[in-house]
Amino acid sequence: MNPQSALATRRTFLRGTGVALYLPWLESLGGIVHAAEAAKEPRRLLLICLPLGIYRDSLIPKQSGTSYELPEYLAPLADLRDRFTIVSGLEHPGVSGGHAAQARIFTGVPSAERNRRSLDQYVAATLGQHTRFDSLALSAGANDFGWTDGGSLVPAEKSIGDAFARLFAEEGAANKAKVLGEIGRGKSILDHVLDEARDLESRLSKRDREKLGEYFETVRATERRLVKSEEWIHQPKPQVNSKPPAPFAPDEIITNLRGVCDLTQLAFKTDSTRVITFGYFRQDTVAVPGVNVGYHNLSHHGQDEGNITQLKRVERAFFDELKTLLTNLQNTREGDATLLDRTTIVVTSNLGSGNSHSNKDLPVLLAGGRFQHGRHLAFDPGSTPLCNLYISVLNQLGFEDKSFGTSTGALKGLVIS
Amino acid sequence: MRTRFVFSLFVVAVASFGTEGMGRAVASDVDPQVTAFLNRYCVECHGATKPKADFQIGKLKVSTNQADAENWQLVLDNLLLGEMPPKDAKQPKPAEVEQVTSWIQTELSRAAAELKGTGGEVVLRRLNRAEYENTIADLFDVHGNFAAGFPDDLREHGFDNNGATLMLSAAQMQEYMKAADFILTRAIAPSQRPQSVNRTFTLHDGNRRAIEGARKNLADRLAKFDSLTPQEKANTLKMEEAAKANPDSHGYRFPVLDNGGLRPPKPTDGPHLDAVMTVQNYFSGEPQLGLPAGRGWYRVKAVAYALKNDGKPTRLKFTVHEGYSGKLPKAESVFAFTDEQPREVEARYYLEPGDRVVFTIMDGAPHSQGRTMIDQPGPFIAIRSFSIEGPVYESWPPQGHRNLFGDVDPVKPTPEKAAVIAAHLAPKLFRRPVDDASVAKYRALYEKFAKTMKPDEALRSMLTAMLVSPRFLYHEEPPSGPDAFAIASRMSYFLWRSTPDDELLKAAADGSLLDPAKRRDQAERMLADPRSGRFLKDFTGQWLRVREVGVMKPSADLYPEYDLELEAAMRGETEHFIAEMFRHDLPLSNIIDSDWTMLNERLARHYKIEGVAGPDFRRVNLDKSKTVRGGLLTHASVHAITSNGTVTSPIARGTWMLEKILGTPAPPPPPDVPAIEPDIRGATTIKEQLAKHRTVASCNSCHRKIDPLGFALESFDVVGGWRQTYRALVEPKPGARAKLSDGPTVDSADEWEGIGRFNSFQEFRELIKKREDLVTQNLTNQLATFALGRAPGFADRQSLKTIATQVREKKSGMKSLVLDLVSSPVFTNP
Repeated sequence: MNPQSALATRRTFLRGTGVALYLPWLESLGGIVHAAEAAKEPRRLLLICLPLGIYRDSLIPKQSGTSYELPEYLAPLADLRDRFTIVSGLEHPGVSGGHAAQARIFTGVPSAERNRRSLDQYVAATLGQHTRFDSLALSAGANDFGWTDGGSLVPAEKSIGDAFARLFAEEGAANKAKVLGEIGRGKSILDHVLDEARDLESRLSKRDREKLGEYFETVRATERRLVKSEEWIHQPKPQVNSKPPAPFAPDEIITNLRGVCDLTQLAFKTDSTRVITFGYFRQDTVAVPGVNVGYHNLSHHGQDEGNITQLKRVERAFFDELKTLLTNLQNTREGDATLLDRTTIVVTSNLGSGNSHSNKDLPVLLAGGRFQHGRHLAFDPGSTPLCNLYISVLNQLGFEDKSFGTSTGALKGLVIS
Repeated sequence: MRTRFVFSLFVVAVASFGTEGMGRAVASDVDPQVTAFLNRYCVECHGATKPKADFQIGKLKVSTNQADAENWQLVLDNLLLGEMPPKDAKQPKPAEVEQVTSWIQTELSRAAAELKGTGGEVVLRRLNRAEYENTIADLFDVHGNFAAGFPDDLREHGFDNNGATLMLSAAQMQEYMKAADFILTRAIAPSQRPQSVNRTFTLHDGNRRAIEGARKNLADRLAKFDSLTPQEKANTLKMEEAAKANPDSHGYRFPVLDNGGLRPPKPTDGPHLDAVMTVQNYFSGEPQLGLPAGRGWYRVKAVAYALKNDGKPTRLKFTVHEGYSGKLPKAESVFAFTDEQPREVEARYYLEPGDRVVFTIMDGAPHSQGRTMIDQPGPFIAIRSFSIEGPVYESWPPQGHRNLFGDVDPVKPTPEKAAVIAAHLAPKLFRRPVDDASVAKYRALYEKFAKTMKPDEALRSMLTAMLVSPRFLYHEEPPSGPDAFAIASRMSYFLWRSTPDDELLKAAADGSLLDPAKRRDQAERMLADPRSGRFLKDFTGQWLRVREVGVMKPSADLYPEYDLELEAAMRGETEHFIAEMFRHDLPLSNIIDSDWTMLNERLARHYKIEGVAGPDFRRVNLDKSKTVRGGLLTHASVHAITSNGTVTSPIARGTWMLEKILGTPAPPPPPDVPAIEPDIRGATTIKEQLAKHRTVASCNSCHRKIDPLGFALESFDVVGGWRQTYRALVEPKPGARAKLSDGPTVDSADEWEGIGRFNSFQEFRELIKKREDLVTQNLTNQLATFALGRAPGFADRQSLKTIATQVREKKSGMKSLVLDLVSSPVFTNP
């Protein structure tokens, strides 16, 4: 099929779903996507972390295998049972420090080493070539999960409203011209400072020269960004019927989460990006019915019944929204598949227990993509790195990597269909 | 277990192996007592000839390679397990073993820390966020949250200015470009000096306006009375009645002080009568002063005094808000009035168009229905006037503009002007002389831009390039070690957290900074400058972690006394305490115990100390027979950051004390040890749980060092209050608020290994006085870490030891310590 006809077919099809949109990954023939790439089906990755842990008994089934009893949090997901897998007993070897492990949840880099290269950023370097945005770091209260190869934190979007505007608000012609001017100017500035950095390099010690290497890399990466935005500025942004999210109070964690989930779905649907991360977190009190203690304090429940009841309300709210997101992705068709088929979703936490701050036995819910789902894979705690799951995820996304972080191989028992 | 020690020992090998026989079999930098031990118990079998198990004591050395660390680890494991020396050999006493294992453990964890950092040399440091902001503020007088989008700087060895950890990314580079635009827009002065406006507002104006407004409103309503709804008619009649009863003031606003008494205001009241605030928060607003004429510095003043206050302070607060954004105020000042003497208070704020200055009355009676304001009990605050003036310029063009352009008029730029500007600015921005070739390149860049842009824009683009240059963002230091200019930057980013001023650059240019004595003089000058306040606050906040106070809020059910004012006061005590020690160079023993502390009213109430009124911190002498307070370990800030919101953590507190006070950090927990599951149901105390933990040998080796120090602080609760029993919550009925009750009794007794037993915090504090040497050495090392942006390496150790010993012997304080450090060779090591 040549790209033009693919475009025509898909666009017609998607118009039929009720959302008017463009498919930039197909439409941009101006050198952004090669025809061969365009014919490939898009694969996507969504990484979600709950940095305060997930109350174990409510998520991890008592039985392993396929015929497990659905625990409390999974009850709303009963209809999707064959679209997700629960994995228990995994951990990141050498990663410790309670909350400090949060930044390493998708990197797996041992605590003794400097953090770097997260799964999302690694994947985004390839998948991001097809989309306006390499990746999107959203936040329902937290996101310090994305790390560059060089060891820099990828900052999260400040607000869902701003992110929505970046994705879908069309710039006026005057503004576009201005932005183009800025891009051109930026490139000249980068050329100049690169030259200056070369001069500087010759005056530095070996150790400092190595460190300055990151400046060179940064300048080149910034240039690549500018080139990319220059290419994309001529592409119209996708038009969506949804309204930009309304502002909300900081404690409205569910509204926040809902906004993030809606934007995730829209971003995938319009193929604005193929890699998204977000966290569900709040230090203080949350506007969840029946909850009057701060979320973080609840996670340190101290086995107190009252605390546990309230904690479950906050976490249950997350799984209710997750259900909506998964259902929406399943109900959105793209070509001959659904968005859920083409999106791998990992929900996990850096804490196996919020109460003890243990970084062992991390909870995992893996959904979507082309995995054979429907089972609880229970590993003996301490036996298997979480990075093994990441290898399986990478393979499923079409990456041929044999190792990532502390992996020792693909995750046993997880089959790609 | 072993994998966590895959580090080498020290950085620099000073190995001189024992080759002259068995008497001196161990490298010379090993603790002499350890050497003696090894010689006595080990060398016989593990000597140079035919060593058993092929393990030679002589090969134990302090160096950079991993095998050495592994060897030490082997020694440690065998000693801890009691496997060595073998049973049939000469047996050491447990105390001897303890001494050696302690030394090895300490060295291994210290080596690990050193090597995780920079390998003992300063690594090309980038300006961190605070340094960038301060630099811009000092060079260009530009303020605002232009750095808010920068990714967070990571911390290493407790500080966020570690060269090796300060990374850079494309996201950050783009933020630098954005910030440059923000900065230049503000630093470049308009061609015309903006008119400075001075507006004064009295509450009479407010009264008059309110009275006239009420009168007009009533007249309007009466004029169209027939068309009103029945409800509106009823209201209007009520209003008419009120107006008749009080024709002057029409239902008055602020009472007026007339002949010593309060009465309702009249439209004819002259400005010689002061209006009086009687109700708390009633007046919380922005007087009609108009918005700032343009961005810049504004002087905001009030003239006020207290009335009927019984010696209690009445407080007035100024806050600056970004429009009606609902964000937290971007600046805030609180003033307290204690007597009837009118006083002018003033604050200076950098305002942007759209900013609002709001005045709030913090004290007075709560508003109550059915009472006129005149009836309220005190305290009152009488307000004569508010005023705002600005933008205020010390000079024209403003200093920031002149720092940017020198004497060049940037209007209608030319390539020649651009070159002069670059030649003027580059040395300031890059903190060292800049050669002609670099300037020529900037000129060429300007010319390149000028082909497609207006000259103004081309000039701005050139300046943007300078602001994202690696020479601005990084500290350049020659390969042979810091030259005088690099030393100037080290000094200013240490003591001011900002760029060197002209005088310091001059002292670099004439080479005097290479002379330790002259360096000391410069440091003294710098410490007398208000910019040194940034150093104290930043250092204290990070060293002791008190800037984290409030991150984890205490549970409102368990600690209802906690509020934001207390939270700020906790941080305030520690910051002011260190600043006070610094200012007067007080002996470092004050860290452990002091007969004074820094308090304001809120914190004094929390500590149950009487006689402290008002929001300002001041030094308060403590009656040690009545209060436990005194020394850092009694600061509520410390107790708060080492607790989660519901329970205190002896482990967190013990770890904090080892790291932050004693400087002997514990290694991280081994990977195979289960964490403790806190249980607050009241059945077991944390002490009982930890006791169980310590029955596991692998836990015990570290926890016997950590836990006792934590238990010593167990009498301080989550918010730093003194307690005899734990707080517990009575099981609430569904929907009801939980009730507090007394839980189990707190037990803070334990044994500090090698030092002694203690039965209370007070006894522990006496014990820690025996280790003042560690405390002093630790502070010295912490300061050095902060000063150099790296952990001290082996090469620094001797100098740091000398500095600490001197300070202790002379009973001098932090200021001396800082001056000694700046003038020592450590400060100029590579």
